Amino acid sequence: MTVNADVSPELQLAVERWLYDEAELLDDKRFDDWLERLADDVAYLVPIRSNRPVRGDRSEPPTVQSAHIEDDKHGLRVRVKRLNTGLAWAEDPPTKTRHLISNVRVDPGDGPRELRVKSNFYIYIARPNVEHASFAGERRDVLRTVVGPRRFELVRRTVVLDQTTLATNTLSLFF
Amino acid sequence: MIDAASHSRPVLEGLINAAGDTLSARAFVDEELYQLELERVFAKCWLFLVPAGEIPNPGDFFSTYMGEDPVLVVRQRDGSIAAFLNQCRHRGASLCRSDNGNAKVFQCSYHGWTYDTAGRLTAIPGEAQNFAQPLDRDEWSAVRVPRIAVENGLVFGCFDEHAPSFRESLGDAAPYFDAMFARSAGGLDSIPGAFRWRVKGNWKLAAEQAASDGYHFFISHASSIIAITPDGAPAPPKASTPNVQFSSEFGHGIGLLTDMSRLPVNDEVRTGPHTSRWLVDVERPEAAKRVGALMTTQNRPIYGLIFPTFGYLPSNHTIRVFLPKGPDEFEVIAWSVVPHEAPPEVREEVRVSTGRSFGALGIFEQDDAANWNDIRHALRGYAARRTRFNMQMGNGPVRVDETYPGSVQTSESEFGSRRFYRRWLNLLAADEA
Repeated sequence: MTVNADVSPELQLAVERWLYDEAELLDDKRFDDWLERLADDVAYLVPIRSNRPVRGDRSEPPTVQSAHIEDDKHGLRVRVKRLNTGLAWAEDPPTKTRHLISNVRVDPGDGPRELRVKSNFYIYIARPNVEHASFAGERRDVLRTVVGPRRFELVRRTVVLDQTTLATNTLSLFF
Repeated sequence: MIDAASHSRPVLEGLINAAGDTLSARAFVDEELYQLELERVFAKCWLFLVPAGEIPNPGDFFSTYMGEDPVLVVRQRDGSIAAFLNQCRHRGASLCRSDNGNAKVFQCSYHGWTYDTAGRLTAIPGEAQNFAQPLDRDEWSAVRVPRIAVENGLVFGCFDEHAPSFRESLGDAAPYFDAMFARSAGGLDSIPGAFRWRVKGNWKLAAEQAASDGYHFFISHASSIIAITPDGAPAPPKASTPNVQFSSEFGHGIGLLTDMSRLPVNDEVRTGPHTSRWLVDVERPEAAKRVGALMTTQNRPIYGLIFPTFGYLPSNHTIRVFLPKGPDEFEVIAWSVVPHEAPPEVREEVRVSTGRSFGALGIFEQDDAANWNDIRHALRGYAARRTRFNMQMGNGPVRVDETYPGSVQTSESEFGSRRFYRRWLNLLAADEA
């Protein structure tokens, strides 16, 4: 894939920096600050994936399915509110997470203020008692440019996990 | 190998005390006990396989496990459902590696032995040229699950040809089973997309909780209860609401909420306004016509386990099966479910809210997994394994309340846990047939 002529190196760098700053907020558990970066009409989706045959499969994938996470801003606020209660036992003491974000691909979006941004992630999660887990996948984001130092807000994120059966679900994290 | 002498009945009996209300921690870690469970629980009992609606068309298959035995559950051309071991009879490789899909045949990728959708051996590469005589198809087909029952759109299988029928295996839980699953003409539809996740813990912890445990809800899930309660709304209760706990000697357990208005988190918050109204205006009155008022308009099923591993959370609209993966890990396959008759707006509320609460990454579900993880962690220790766990809550005499079928306790209780583990132990200790 070639660099899109509509995406300047400056814009590429600005988007990357936005993603890295977002990862820092998540790893520092500054979830309220993270919510501020989301558009009011944000759509956050983590689809369920399954292992299906390569050939000979005549079935149609269903159009409406369950999802691991399918949250609007209210739904994401509920998740953050839970963490802020101090009663989410799986997070006491807090898990340590590290988001590694790479392979950032920026393209023009559907509207003049929107960008389509793909990135890959690797998230390491450590719980007490040396339990640890990691997740890899791709994020397919839509960012909208906004006035102000933040520059962008997240309008849409689809998280394509590379695990089908999740190896752990004690996950109070955001991808 | 299992040492037969160490599993003589007295040794197994020691796992539960004479009063039946304390349990050895060994039950959750012992590898030999686990192997005995595979033989005497999972190869003997009716096990949940899949919602029939997940495999509607001929050739549709779903891959799951009975105990640790991999099985393919396949819709046949005549509409019936067959299940067989996902294991080639030649060298034992998988017949199919996919979770689900549609297939005309299943061909082993090792040497190409090919089976039809019922598991019958149909083709062997080189058979005519290189085998002295054709192989006997009856002898060398995939091992069939001999017993299949489809009840209210739920598919169950049993490896034991001599087991009682599925209905008989319900015993006095049958009226409760029907009140949960036969309350509408169309039964429950599963919403496509099975949640699958692993938990580091023993499968019995999840099963027992589904059978018996309303007790944990207000502590384990405190953060989630607060989180989904709207800002400014009255604080949710911090202790148990009135309930009735039914338990069967066969290990099944069902919890009923007796005060319909006091669900700790009401349906509007839990699921959505359309669902809340529809349950009251349509679903319960219609269900009452089919299965009576007791468990529709007068009491509300809130949790249930069909022994050993099929769990249902009716007010959270999810069914799940717990698949053992050794003594210290299990896999959950869960679906969101909605009555077939539900209008589109109710389906949509259920789909989104159930994923948010009780999907693999649902906020309530995470709370449980963390606890089960920790139990496993402690049981790595020698002293910890020698402890006994207390399940004495509500251990007064078993009551028979004429209002309810079977035996119930009418206060918060671990009645269901005690009967769950007693049934489990009875199966482990059963003499060889």
